Amino acid sequence: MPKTLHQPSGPAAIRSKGLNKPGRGLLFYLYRDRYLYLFLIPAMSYFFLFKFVTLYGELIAFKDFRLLDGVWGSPWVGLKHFHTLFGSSDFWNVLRNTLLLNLYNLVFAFPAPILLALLLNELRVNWFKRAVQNMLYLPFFISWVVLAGIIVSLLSPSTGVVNAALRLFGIDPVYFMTSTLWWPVVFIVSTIWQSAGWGTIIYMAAISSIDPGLYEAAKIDGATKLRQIWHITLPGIRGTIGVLLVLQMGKMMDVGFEHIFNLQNAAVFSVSDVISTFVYRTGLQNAQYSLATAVGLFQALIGLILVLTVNKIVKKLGEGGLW
Amino acid sequence: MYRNRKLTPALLAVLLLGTAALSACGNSNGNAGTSAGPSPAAASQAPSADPYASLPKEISGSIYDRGQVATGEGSYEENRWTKYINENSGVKVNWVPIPRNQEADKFNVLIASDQAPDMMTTFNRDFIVRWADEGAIQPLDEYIDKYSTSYKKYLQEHPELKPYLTLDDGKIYAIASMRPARANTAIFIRQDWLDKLGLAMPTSVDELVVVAKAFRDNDPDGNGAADTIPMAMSTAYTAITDDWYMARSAAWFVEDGKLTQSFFTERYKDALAFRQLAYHESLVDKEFATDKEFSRQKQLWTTGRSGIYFSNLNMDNTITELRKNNPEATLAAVPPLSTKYGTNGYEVEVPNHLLTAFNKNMKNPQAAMEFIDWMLDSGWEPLTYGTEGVHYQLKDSIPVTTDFDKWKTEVGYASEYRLVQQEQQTPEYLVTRAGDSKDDQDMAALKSTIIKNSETYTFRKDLPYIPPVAEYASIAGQFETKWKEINTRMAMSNQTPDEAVEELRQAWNSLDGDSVTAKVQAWYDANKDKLK
Repeated sequence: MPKTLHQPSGPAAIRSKGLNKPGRGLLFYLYRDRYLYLFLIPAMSYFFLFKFVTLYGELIAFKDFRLLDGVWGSPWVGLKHFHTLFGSSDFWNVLRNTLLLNLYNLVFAFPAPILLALLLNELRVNWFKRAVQNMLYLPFFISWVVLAGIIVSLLSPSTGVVNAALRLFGIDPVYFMTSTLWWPVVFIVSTIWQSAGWGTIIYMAAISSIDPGLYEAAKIDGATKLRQIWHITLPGIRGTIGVLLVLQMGKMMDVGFEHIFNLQNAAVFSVSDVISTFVYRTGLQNAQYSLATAVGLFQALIGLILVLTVNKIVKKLGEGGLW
Repeated sequence: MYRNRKLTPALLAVLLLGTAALSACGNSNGNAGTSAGPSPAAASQAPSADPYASLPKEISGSIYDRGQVATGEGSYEENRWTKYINENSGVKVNWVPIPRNQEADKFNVLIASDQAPDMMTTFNRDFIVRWADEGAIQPLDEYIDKYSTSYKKYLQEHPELKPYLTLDDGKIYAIASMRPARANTAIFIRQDWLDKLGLAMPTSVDELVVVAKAFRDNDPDGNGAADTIPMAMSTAYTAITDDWYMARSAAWFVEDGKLTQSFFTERYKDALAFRQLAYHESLVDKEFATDKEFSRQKQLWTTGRSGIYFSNLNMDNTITELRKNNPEATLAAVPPLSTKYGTNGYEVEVPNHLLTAFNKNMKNPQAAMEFIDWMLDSGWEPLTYGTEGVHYQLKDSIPVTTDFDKWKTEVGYASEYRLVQQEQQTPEYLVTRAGDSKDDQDMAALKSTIIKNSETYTFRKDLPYIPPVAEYASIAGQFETKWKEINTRMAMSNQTPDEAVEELRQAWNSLDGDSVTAKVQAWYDANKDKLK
C-alpha cells in the first residue's frame, strides 16, 4: 500500500529529471544535499573502517601468513588452504553441524518470537503484559557463560531439577549434556529461551502499527480472535517477517560462538563443533591464521549467496525484502 | 526505489576513495614489516656506541593471571610486589596479565596485533618454537653476552638448561632458570579413611581400584549415606592414568627405535580401559564431562565426598579448604603404582622453569637483561618468602614462614613474577620452611614425600620436549580435540579399547598423520645424540 502511494509523487519526478540532464549527476546531488550527506559520514566511516579496510586482511587466506612478513609480504599460495579445508573430514563435519543447527534454529527458534508476539498482543491486562515481557527479555541480557552454567546444573542427572522431575514420573535420569541426541535439543531450547523474548520487540512494533480499524471491521463481520490473527495480524507483519528471515539466512553459516562454546563438552564434540569454534581453535589457539581466514571467507561467501537468494525469493512473494 | 539510484553513485565514490586509502594502508604495513628487521642488525654493527644507554629503563612483560591476587592486594598489573620491583630493580616493568588457561589465544592475539609485551613468559616451549618461526621473538645470545653478568654465569653453571633454551638454529631464544622442584603430578588420599576402613596404602593400580570400591561401598565419612564418589579429578587425571601405563596422551614414544604416538601403543589401551572401568564402577563423578573447569571435582574433594584426589604437587589451597570442612582429615601421597608394565613414576617436569622470550620489536633489551640479572641475584627472594619480620624469620639461613595465612594472601601470588629464581625445594628445606601452621607443615611433609618419590622412581619420557616439527604443530591442536572427544566418549560408553584406538587411528589418518610421523622420525634421527 504505501509503495503505490509513493510512485506518482515527487521522487519519481526528480528521477526523470536527473535522467534527462546527464550534467546533473552525482556531484549535483552531493552538492545540493551536502549538509544532509554530512550526517552519513559517521556511519559511513564506521563501515569503511571496520568492514572494508579489514577486507585487506582477507588476503591471507590465499597466502602462507607469517607475522614477520606481514600481510603483503607473505608468499602467495593460491587456493592451498581451501584445498586443505575441503580435503579434511573435520571440516565437512563442522559444516554439517553448522548447517544442521541453523536449520533447527530456522524451524524452531525463528517462529518462536512471532508466536510469542501474537500471544502477548492478545493480553489485555497491561501491567501483566509488561511484567511478562520484562521477564521474557531478561535472559537476553545474561552472558552465555552464566546461562550455560545454569543450564548444566538444571540438567544435571544427579542434582538437576529436570531430572528430579523425570524421576517423579519413574523415568531414569538422562545426562542431556553428553548425549549426542539430546544436545542439539538443549541447544535449540536454550536459544529460544534466551532470545525469543527479545525477538518479540520488533514484531510487537510491527503489530502496533496495524490499523485498529481493520480489527473493528473484522469484529463487526463476526471474525473470531483466531480469524483476526490469521487475516489481519499475520499479513500485517508479513513484511517484517520477510526482512528478518533474510537477515536470519545471512547467519546460516554462523552459530553464536559464546553460546556453543560454553555449552559444548568433549562428549558431544561430534555434533557441536561448528565453524565459529573451528575458527577459534585453528586461528586463535593454534595460530594457523591463513587456514582460519579461509574458513571465514568461505563462510561469508555462502552467507552472501544465501542472503541474495532468499531476498530474491521474498521479493518474488511480493514483500519488500531488504533492498 | 529511487533512493537506491541516488545512493549507489555516492556509495561508489566512497568505495573508490576507500580503495585508495586501502592501498596506502597496505604500503605502510609492508614497510613496517621490513623496517623492523634491520634495527637489531644495526645495533650489532655499532656495539661501542651502546644504543640503549640513553633509553629510559622501562620494559613490559607478560604475567600469568591465575586469579590469585586478593582484592585488597590490587591487581596483577599493580600490587605491592610490582611496586617493589620498580623501586628496587632500577627498571620499570609494565605487566600484561595473561589468563593462565587461555595463554594460547591471548598471546596469539597480542602478537598478531603487534601489542605483545617486550618479555613473553610461558611454560610452553612449543610457543617459543612457534614465535621464533613466525619471527615474533629474537635470539638472545648477544644480549646475554653483552649485557648480562649474573645470568651469563648462571647459564655456565647450569649447562643442562641450554638444550631447552636453544632452538634448531643453535641460538638461544629463551631465558629460564632451574625448576624449584621437578615433581609435578600427584595423587592424594585420605589417610583417615584408609585407617577407618582398615585398608593398606595401595601400591598397584589394582589395589587402588579395591580401595576406591571400598570407599564407594563402606561409607568412609560415616554420614550413613552411600554418597561417596571415591576419586576426584583435576587436569591431572588423564595425565596420571596415562602415565601409569607409560602412554601419556599425545606424547611421542620410541618403540623399537620408531617414534610412535602414545595412542598407538598397546599400553594406551590399558589406560583407556582403566578410565572406562572407573566410570562404569562409579569410582569417578559420572558428570565429569560437563565439569570443564573441574570446579565440581575440587568441591567433591574439599567437602570430603571424595577420598582420592588426582592433582598436582601444588594443591596448597585445597588442603586448607578441606580442613575447614573436615578438621580431622589427614592426607597421604599415594606412591607410584605398579601395573603389568612395571612401575612408572609420577611426571617429572623438564629441568627449566618459566621460559622468557624477548619481543622482536622491544626497545630496550639491555634494561630487560639488567632486570633478569637483578631478579636472579636478589629480586626473587622476597617474591618467594615475603618480608623478613613480617612474613618470615631466618632460622639457620632458611626463611621460616611465621604467619601462613598472611603469607598466602600477601606473598603467595608473587612467585609468578619470578621470571628467574634460585629456589631449590629439597624435602629438608620445605619441612624447615614451614612455620607453625599445621596445614603448612602437613603440606610440606606431603610435598617432601612426592619429591622423594620423584627422585627414586624413574618417569618414562622418551623425548625431552615436544618435537619442534612444524607439520606436527599444525595438526596437534586439531588432533587434540579429537582424542579428547574419543577418550571421553569411550569412558562413558561400552566401546572396547580396540575400537577406540581404531577411531583414533582414523582421526590420525584423516590428518595425514603418518607423513607427520615420518617427519618427526627424521627430526629424531637427526637430533638423537643431542637429546640424550
